Amino acid sequence: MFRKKAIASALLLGLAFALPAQAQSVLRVKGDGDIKQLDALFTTSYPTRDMAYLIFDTLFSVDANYKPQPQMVDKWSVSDDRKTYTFTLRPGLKFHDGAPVTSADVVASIDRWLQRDSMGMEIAKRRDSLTAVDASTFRLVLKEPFDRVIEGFGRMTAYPLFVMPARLAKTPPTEEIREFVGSGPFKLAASEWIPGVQLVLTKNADYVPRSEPPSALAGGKIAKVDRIERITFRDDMSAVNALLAGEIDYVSSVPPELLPVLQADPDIQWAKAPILGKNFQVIINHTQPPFNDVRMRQALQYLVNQQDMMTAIFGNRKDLYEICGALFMCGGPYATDIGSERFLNPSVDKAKELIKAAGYDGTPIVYLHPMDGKIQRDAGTILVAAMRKAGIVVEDVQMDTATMFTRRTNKGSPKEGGWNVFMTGFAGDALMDPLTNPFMTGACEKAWIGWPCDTEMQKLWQDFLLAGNDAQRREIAIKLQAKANEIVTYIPIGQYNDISAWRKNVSGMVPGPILTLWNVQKTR
Amino acid sequence: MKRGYSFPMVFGGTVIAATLLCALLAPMILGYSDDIVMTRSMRAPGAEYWFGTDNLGRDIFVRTLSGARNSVIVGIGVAGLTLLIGTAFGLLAGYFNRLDGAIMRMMDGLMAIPGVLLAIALAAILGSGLYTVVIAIAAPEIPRTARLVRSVVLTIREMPFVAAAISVGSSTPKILLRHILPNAMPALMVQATFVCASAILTEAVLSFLGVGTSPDIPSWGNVMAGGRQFFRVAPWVILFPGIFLSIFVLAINLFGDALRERGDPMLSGRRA
Amino acid sequence: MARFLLWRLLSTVPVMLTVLVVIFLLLHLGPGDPAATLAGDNATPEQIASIRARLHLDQPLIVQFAIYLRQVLSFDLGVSVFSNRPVTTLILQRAEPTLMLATTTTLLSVIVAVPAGIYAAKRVGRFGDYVVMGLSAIAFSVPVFVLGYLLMQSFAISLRWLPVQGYRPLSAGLMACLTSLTLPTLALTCLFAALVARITRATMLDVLAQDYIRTARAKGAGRFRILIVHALKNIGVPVVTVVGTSFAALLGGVVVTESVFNIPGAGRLTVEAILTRDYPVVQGVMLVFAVILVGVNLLVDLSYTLFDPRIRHGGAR
Repeated sequence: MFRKKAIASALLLGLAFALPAQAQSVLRVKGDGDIKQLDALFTTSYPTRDMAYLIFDTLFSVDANYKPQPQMVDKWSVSDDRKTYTFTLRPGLKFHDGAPVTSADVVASIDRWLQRDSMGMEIAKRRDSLTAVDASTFRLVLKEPFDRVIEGFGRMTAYPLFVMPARLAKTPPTEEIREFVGSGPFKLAASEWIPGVQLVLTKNADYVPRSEPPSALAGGKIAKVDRIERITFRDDMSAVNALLAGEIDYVSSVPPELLPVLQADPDIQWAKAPILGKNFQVIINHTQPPFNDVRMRQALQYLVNQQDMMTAIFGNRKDLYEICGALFMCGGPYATDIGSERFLNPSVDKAKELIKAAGYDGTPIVYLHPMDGKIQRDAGTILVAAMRKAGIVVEDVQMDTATMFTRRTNKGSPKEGGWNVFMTGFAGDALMDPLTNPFMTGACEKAWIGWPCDTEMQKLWQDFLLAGNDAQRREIAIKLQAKANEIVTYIPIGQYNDISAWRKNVSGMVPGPILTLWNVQKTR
Repeated sequence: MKRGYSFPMVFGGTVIAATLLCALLAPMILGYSDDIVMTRSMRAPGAEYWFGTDNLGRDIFVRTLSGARNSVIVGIGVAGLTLLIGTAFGLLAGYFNRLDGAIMRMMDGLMAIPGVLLAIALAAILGSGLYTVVIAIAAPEIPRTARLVRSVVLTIREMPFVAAAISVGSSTPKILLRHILPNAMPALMVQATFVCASAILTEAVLSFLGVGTSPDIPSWGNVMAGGRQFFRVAPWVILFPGIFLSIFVLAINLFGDALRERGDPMLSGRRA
Repeated sequence: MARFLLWRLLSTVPVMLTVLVVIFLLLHLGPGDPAATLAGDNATPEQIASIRARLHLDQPLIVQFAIYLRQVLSFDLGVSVFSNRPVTTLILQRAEPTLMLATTTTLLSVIVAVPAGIYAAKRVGRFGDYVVMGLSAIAFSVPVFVLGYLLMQSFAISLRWLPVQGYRPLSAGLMACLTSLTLPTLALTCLFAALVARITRATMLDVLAQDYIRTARAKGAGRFRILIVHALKNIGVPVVTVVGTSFAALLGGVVVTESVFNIPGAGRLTVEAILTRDYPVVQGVMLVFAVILVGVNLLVDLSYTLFDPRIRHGGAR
């Protein structure tokens, strides 16, 4: 049995490699990180989600203004009492296995998503019924009005609503799907997928794009290359060298220190991406001393020097980052500096005053410091140095990311394997909205790691969820940020963009929150 | 070979002595000023910063010299630990027939895992302190030393002077330490130089893969690994520690070779 | 002969068991497990817990080991926690580049280093010996990733003679494959050839000092004749030993080289699996590596018995 399997896979592999690549346009891309699995309802990993957008289609998608626009949906309407939503699918949608997309498939996909996504759960709480009316029409009836249904169906974080055949969508969300059949503009070449090495997509010739021009994730998605090879690199230098040598066409994020090398080459074009930028955050454990004292947390705000951290990562390239006080991202719809004075004006002296006022007794604090990611490594080194300067005794626990992922979920004291401070990175598209920003719930035990606990924030979050119009939402978001900064749910270390670079024979990139490879073409 | 001091031995010895001196004195001379100073990041080598600075504005000259200290600690630490544990296992396995099978099968098992992979796994799992890295690199080296000592013990055990020692009632530990161990020493010293050199290189490899010592414990390896992204724009970050590392490892290798030549009875017998 | 073989085969059982236990304990006792990495940044603790349960990570260690042992004994290495692919498939997918790189490096090293080692042994204590030993010491002292970058910079980027990175499989043609392997092979050969040259020289000195060479010399055979006919015949076995015993070192070098040159081999698979705690993959690859190493050692031992009758007849050595 073992032997047979072995021979079969060896044969398969041989076949895969033997596929001719001539006369086809092949886009070779170095994506961010490795794709280890493709079920975007099972993991929240960004690379997985980004790739899933190419394979699966969505009911709605956000445009460049982060407004949901219909994608698979042709027409939709909501009843006057705001409780009944009726949707009609676009004609001609087909899954990669040839089967037409029916409303039964959609209903099953929505069902799986409702159990997993936080907005989905809010909808599920209010659901009266979700039914397929006919092959292309489905209807959602709510028990009470809830105005975020369309936004939820189109959201891209934490779990987007990807549509897949009902037979796959029936998999419980706690288990991964094993077969990746979508209806998006590209198909997965499953036999050529080697986790950790490459993932290959081929053009879906049957895809019927929308007629609107593309805008971020919305609009017409046209597969203009026959084949996309997403190649995983362990070493950024090798990726940049490969781009210079023309062995790959596109690098989604180039380390900023290698930018001069790319700029010197006339065949290379680069741009900042994604549009809203990214952020790393200092997270504090609210449950453990000494940081259960708000003054200690505020002292830490004084110690996060965005300028230093950004210089460490970007050197003198001031065009690549911005010092930003907005917890909901500078440039986002809820941007404000309210309550951010402390980390916008870092001061070791003021931190010392707060630390003294809090009566800090010199107990060592545990900083979780991953060494295998450059930003976390260098910015962490700067933060640890600043904390020490302010008189905090830091146990700088250096580890790899996998250890950090596990250890940070430990709610115990540092002596029991817990922790006090660490850094993580969420993308701007998650942070920009109070509902997707994981640090805004104030939900104590149920909050995201760090477990900030605040009844006022809990109330504000609910208010925001139910707020009807943009003005109200903005007003509540500002209050939320003020409160979050006061109790210090997280401290941003500066907003930046990745640098995407590509060879000049590649064109048609759609600016957006993620790497979208539809509409991209390659000339010889 | 010649009883005098050959070039490799003199060269190796001098470089090793100089590096050890640097390693010991570096903190005193320099007062540890490899602080992060963002205003001076990425300076090219010059009068002010002899070896330039890195992206965090740390002085590469200072980091190279204090790197000497930590790299030497790794090298000597690994060699020492390997020798200590390997010798203990080797002596036990070689002298006590009953323990031999169990110990040697265990050593075979450890040896069957590629050393670098085992070191990577250990370093990733134990964390990236200086001593955990020493343990991670030493563990895969132990079996070889144990084997070496065991083979020496097996040969010497049968020799008349050991039998004599037993007959006059010397205790087992005394026989092992007084009579057998000294005879294994020359071979062990050569082995130690080899382990020391390869440990320093392995540490660099671990740093390269992101599981070595942390950047605030500078070693030649991790200063280089930290600077490899800047290879094309700031080659000095990787160049200077690289040169120091290579010369030091070269010195140890040459010194070890010279030791081996001097101690090799087969060789000296032939030339005599 | 058959008894010897059987005995050697049986003696690998405890060795493999040790490997299994060591790797298993190392992974499971260490901090960090795959569940949190698998779930991603946004996942809730409940979601992580459900993944832990699905992977049996919430069971007692001894139960987990029993499950694993039973699996291995039925020739099943399990399934990757992340990609859900059988570990056997993953290894097979990654085997070709690693094997090819190991083969080209071994060949080149033997071609360069064995003559160099013999030459050094012949000129022992003289200038030629110093040159060979010095060069090998230098090659031995440069970290392989530095060498890799230097080669890449000069031959691939400045001169554009060779590809910068990546691997072309054999099915894309032998030339394409070898071209893609040229730089990594060169980088790794520097390290490996230094090792082989050293061992060859030491072995050669050993052989030259043996009685039958003295006899031959006493009988007035020419130096060249002694070297080729008598010594080389006997050096065949030691060279096999050299290659066999430094095989582990080679595998170690391959890991780093694969990362520098972005070669999708088994070494990179292992490093990635270690960093993400993909337990089944780490255990599987380590086990396969161990089987290969033990197998190579077994072959080396066998080659002794074939060439050296003393062992075959149970004599001491």
